[in-house]
Amino acid sequence: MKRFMSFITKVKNKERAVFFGKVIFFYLILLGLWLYFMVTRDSGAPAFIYEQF
Amino acid sequence: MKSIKAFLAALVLFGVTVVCIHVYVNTHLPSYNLRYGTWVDQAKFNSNEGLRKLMQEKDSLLILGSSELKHGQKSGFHADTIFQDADMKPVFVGQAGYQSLIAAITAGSMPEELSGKKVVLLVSPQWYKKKGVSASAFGNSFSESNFISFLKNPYISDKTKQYVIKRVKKLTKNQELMHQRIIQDVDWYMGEKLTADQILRKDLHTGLIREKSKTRLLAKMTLAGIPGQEETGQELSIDPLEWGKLWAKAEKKGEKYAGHNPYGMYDAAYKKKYQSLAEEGQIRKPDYKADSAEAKDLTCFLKICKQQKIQPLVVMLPFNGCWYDETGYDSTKRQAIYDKTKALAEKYGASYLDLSDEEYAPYSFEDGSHPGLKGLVNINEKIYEFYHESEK
Repeated sequence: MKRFMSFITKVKNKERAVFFGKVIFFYLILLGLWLYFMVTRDSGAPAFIYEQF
Repeated sequence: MKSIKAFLAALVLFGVTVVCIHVYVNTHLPSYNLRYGTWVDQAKFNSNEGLRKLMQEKDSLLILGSSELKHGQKSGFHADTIFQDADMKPVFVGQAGYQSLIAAITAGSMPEELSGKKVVLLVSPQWYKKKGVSASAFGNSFSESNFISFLKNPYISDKTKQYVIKRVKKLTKNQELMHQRIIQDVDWYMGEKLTADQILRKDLHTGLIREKSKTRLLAKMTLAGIPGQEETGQELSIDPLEWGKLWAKAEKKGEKYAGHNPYGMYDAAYKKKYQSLAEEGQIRKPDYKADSAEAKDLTCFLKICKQQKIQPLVVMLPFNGCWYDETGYDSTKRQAIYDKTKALAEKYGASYLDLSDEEYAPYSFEDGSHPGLKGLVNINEKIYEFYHESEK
């Protein structure tokens, strides 16, 4: 935990690392939204429950 | 300011990723192999471009149906095995809930690929409920990608298109999002002259729908382990297309798997569901009508085939006679359904496969409605014969 905290502090002090962190953060959000759009179904229909006849 | 710069950098990176995925998806659209052709999954049915690519394949045969397409898979009697390395390539479209209206839209969504070809429609008698396909079943089967291609099809008359549009609007009226999009698609593709803004929105929307359906198809195929190319060298339990051997094998398996219940179905299905229903007197009485809305949808399918010069085979699947006798849905009512379907097929010049005399055939059913064992062999053999028949 100590090591992790010191790593975070080091990163926070490096402007470049913070910038890249932000880029990755925004990139993942955009990618997540895009994936959600691509994978969700077009249909807004309620689930069809198949009953055997 | 730095956050804005980071966002813009992320946006550029994201744009590059999307372009790379677009290129990948377009260059890796799967080509025919038997597993893919007989794969039952909505991602496949909903991608118009994916289906078109399958239908461009020489020897491909579109087989439209519903839940029976999935039943019996990997049993050795299903098309997924029988037609390995055969000179006929079945392309399945359908699963539980798919009925004539979806079949009509699908058949009308590939004008260049299907015109002059043969198509098979497996009609389940259970489709003949009073109001035909239910709104929830239709909503779940609907593909906007296929619907747009259907609307653009130049071979289909406006009158036939209007029938489909009316039905589609009615069935989706309680599904706001889908309903609005359908209305918009109809305006865009059937309406009067569009403004530049409308054309831009139409092209953007259609492009996104196509992109989405292709991406979903590739993602689902990868997850399901379906190969994107021809498979060769698979070990088969029986030589393909040796119908005599298949019949004998189905008979032998039938005695083992379906020989110990009064309804001619799989013993496992009987024990799991039907035995208790019968013993506890909980059998629901079916209410199928020959004058169901389904008959009009089937008529529409047949008209679409005629307008595109498609030669259809209507396969009327039989009721499980032993089970339906038990439900009280007697043979006169069952015959009325068969007669109605046959009359429609004949009226529109379609080939018709009458399986009504198979109602009591032993080892022909998996359960109360789906074909199994000898039933599957029989249907596949008849479809294969139809495919090789010289044209009418």
